[in-house]
Amino acid sequence: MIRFNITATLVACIISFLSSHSFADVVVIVNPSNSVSELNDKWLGAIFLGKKTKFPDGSSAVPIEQQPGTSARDKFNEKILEKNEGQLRAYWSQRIFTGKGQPPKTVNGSADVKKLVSENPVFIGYIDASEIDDTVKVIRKLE
Amino acid sequence: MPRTKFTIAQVTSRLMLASCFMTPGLSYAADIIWSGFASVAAGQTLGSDDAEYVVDNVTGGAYDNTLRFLPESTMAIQAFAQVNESVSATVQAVAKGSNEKSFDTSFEWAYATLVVTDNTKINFGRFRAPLFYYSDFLDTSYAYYWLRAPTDMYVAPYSTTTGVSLNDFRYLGDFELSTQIWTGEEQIEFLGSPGELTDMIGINFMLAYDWIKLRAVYNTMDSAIEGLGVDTKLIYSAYAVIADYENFKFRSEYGNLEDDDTGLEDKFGYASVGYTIGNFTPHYTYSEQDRAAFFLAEVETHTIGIRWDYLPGTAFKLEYSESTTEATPCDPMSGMCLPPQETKIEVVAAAIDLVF
Repeated sequence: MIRFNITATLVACIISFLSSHSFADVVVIVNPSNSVSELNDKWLGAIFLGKKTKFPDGSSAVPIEQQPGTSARDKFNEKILEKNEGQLRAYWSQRIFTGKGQPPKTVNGSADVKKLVSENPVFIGYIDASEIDDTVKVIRKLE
Repeated sequence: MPRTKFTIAQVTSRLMLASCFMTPGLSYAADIIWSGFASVAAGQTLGSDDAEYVVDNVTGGAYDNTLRFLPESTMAIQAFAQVNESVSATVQAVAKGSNEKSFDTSFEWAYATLVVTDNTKINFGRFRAPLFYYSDFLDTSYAYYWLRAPTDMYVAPYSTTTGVSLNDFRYLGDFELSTQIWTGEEQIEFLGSPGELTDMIGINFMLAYDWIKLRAVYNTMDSAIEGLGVDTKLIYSAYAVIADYENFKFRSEYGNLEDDDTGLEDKFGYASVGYTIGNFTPHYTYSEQDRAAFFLAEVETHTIGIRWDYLPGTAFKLEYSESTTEATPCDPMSGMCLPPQETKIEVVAAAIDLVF
């Protein structure tokens, strides 16, 4: 019985850990006044890799990243950029030291991204789905 | 996150953020973004003879049978500032070790960028001559798996030029096309004699699709090297195939330098494969050069190595090369040549690469 309890607790712990970290949904958000309602993954990735600076309607797009180590960043990098942290560093070191561009601005977490996006229509970012409210518009859901 | 992992980059990014978002909206106050990279390498040749193995054709840095730290260690710092909405300035100072000087600092990049359209920029100043695929970030060895780009291919005695460069990047459907057209000049040292390259005009295309990149470059220049009595036009062309298919990596380049007066050619190239397993990327490279334009030599090199991505921003590298040279010594005045001499040399080196 004790063994069962320990196992159950362990399983519960793992499940709660996984659900709160790795498996939490991440959404890509823009300002509600932005005319963009969806964006394909190639375009989205190109904005975050500094290869495109515009939304499809021609308005400026400025990406906001979360700092390394957040689960939202890891999921976005894996699903959209298809790069791990090390590969992303190598990519940006090529761009920075050849004058091609600078990596996106980085903020602490979902709340900071949401605040910036809600204040300015040029910004685009990704946040934990649990942070969604009517100050921002969701254009892509990463499951 | 443990305190020890609080990196300079994180501190810098916080400071940048503070300065950037203090004022709402997009301001172009002269915020300077600092970045840098470093590579500390140690190596030596194996064997007891005094033969040298040149690892940097620009500085002349070479290993011998004593453990050396200077020949290919590099440290660099870069400042970037957005001056106004269409002009930015970039300055990169690179300090390199070599055999003659402990550390010599030079400006590898120092230019102003004018944004002409969303796709097109013009750089004025000092920038990398895009002779090879890795030219632009040759010093930033963190960005590639080797400890050094194949020296049989990266043979040019200069890497930088001063002039004007037009850079265009655009999507053609799912293809990414980069075009660079440049002109410039550079003072060089070749086989111990000072000289100059002028009227450089070049065009460089790169086409990327999904996991593959193809590159072609064509460049002409006037070359004058007084001590060697050289005064000729040079025609350079090169091609590259770069593939990153899942964990498999393939890189190959081929280059050709022709002396327009004599028709004599230097040819060089390599093919390299790497495979990433977790944080480790073992790799193998075969490279060769066949020189005839200014001297007669054939070189073949086999290189094996491994890159270990220790943490994002830090990589360790270990590399071994075995190189065979068949040189034919000739007297440039009489044109008399001695029989070819074959020499073999082995070199091993280890490095830590950082970007911050």
